[in-house]
Amino acid sequence: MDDRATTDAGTGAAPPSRGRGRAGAASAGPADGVPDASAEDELLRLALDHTPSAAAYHDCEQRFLHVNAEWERFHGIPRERVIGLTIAEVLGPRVHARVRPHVERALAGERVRFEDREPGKFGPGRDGWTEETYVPHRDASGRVLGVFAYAPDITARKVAKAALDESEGRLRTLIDGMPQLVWRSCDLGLWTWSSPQWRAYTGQTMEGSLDRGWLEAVHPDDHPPAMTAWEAARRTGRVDVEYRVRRASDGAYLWHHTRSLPVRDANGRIVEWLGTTTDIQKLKELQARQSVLVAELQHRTRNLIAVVRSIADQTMKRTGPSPMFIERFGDRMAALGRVQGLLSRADDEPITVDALIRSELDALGAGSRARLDGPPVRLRAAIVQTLALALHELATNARKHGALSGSDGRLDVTWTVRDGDGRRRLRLDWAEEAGRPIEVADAARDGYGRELIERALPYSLGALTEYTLTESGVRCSIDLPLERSSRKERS
Amino acid sequence: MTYDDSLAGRHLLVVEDEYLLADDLAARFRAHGASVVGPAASVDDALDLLGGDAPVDGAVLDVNLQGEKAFPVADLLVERNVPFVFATGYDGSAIPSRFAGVTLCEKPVDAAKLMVALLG
Repeated sequence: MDDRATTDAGTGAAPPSRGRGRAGAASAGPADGVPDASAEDELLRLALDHTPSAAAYHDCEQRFLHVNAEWERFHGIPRERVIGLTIAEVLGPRVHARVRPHVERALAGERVRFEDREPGKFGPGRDGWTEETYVPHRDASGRVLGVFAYAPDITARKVAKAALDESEGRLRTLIDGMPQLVWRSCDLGLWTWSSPQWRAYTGQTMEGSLDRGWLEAVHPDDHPPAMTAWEAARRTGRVDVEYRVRRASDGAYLWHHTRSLPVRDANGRIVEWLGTTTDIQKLKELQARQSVLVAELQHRTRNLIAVVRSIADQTMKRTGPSPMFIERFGDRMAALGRVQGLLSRADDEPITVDALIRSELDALGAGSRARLDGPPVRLRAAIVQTLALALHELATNARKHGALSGSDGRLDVTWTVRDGDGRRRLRLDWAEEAGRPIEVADAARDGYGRELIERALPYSLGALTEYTLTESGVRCSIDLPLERSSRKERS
Repeated sequence: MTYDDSLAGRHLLVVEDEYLLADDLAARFRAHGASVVGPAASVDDALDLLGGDAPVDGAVLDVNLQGEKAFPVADLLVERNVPFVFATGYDGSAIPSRFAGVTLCEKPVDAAKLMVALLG
């Protein structure tokens, strides 16, 4: 069609090429006495004017001998102002400079095809694009008479392609940069592609990962859940499964979450699956730690309730149902509360011997009347509660009956740390100097503190203790291991 | 607290690291006529008591003994066919499945439930 149009446009336009192309061509037929040719000429003009591509015919001087309707529309110039003028005259020197080499090649006998960009054709930043084809028109001897130019407007295609390239570029950047391991798969986990991230992480080659190759990077124990997920995928329309993937750099199996959704065709049939495998090791570790913490909290809370019940029983046994019960029990609950506060902050703020004693004395408003002296010693959580309850009893007793009850008493609490049988031991001495004789019978009446020191500390903490009550107050020593026994050391 | 002798003549091992709770439990058992073996505050102490000559007809085990799990003691009790219960603040998920048949008494322990579990 192109060639015939070229030929006919050429034959029609060639004779009157020095004059007015269209009028000349229209009169050429009858003048030559070939009505058939004239009819054919008109037919071709009609066809050309209805073709959606701009078309023009240039003679050897690069003058327009013919343009079609689409050419007029695209360039916005009526043909009356075109025919007989050169490309430079009609479209300006800028356009001419751009197309001239191509026109000259066509005039030299070559069929030329190129894409032409007209900057700002449709407004600022909006270029116009045409796909230009120049076909040389030859006479019977092969001499080039002119050039038929055919130039469909491909601007829309270009814009769409540019948008697609940009979008693809963004997507590629996203996929290359995302921490997830991306892959494509057929049904039942038969992989067709794995991302560079997957290959870098697992050390597999592309080939090695395809089909079920990826499964070799999955922990053997996790093969069943992985395959079960793929078997169910067709029915459920998704893959959502956790398994461990081997990291090539150190051979560690880390937990990953794999998700995939199917790509479907117009009929809803699954074409392929796109999936990601995401590192969730940190999450798994945090979840495990959380479970441990919750269990510890359960353990501690329930133990605490049992301890409260025991303290209530023990207090009641000594006071009977009297106002004294309320007072004693309340004091002990306050001490228990203070030690829970210390324990809950123990991760950030290690509990020391000094802090524990000070917290008890301060609660009694007696902090300034005691001399505390010893090295900084950190206490592990397991021994804090029992020790605190014992210290509370000592302090309360001193306040009520002993060294802290009058204005002239003094209390010395000193401690040292030494090595004993491979374990560090704390030795703490509590020494009251009442300054005046105290009522020993009053001080001894309750007896709960003494029971804690003489029985609870040895039992729960492996402590060696001494407790003496004299007229000058209590003298007490507590010697306990700071670390847990690793193996039995009993005889 | 009801005082009866439903546990009379029985030797019950108490394994609990918290003195106040061990003492409390031992007192309750004694009140029902039992003789208490221990109490023991650690796995080692409990294993020593079981290794001695004293007869043991039943046991109450705290699961967490100052950070150490009491399961070696439980294994020995299973081996000896001695009935026992776990007394714990943990829920069942913290107990290995091999002890699935063992009664779990959540703290604070219900002494009556303990009796039923040990006598039954």
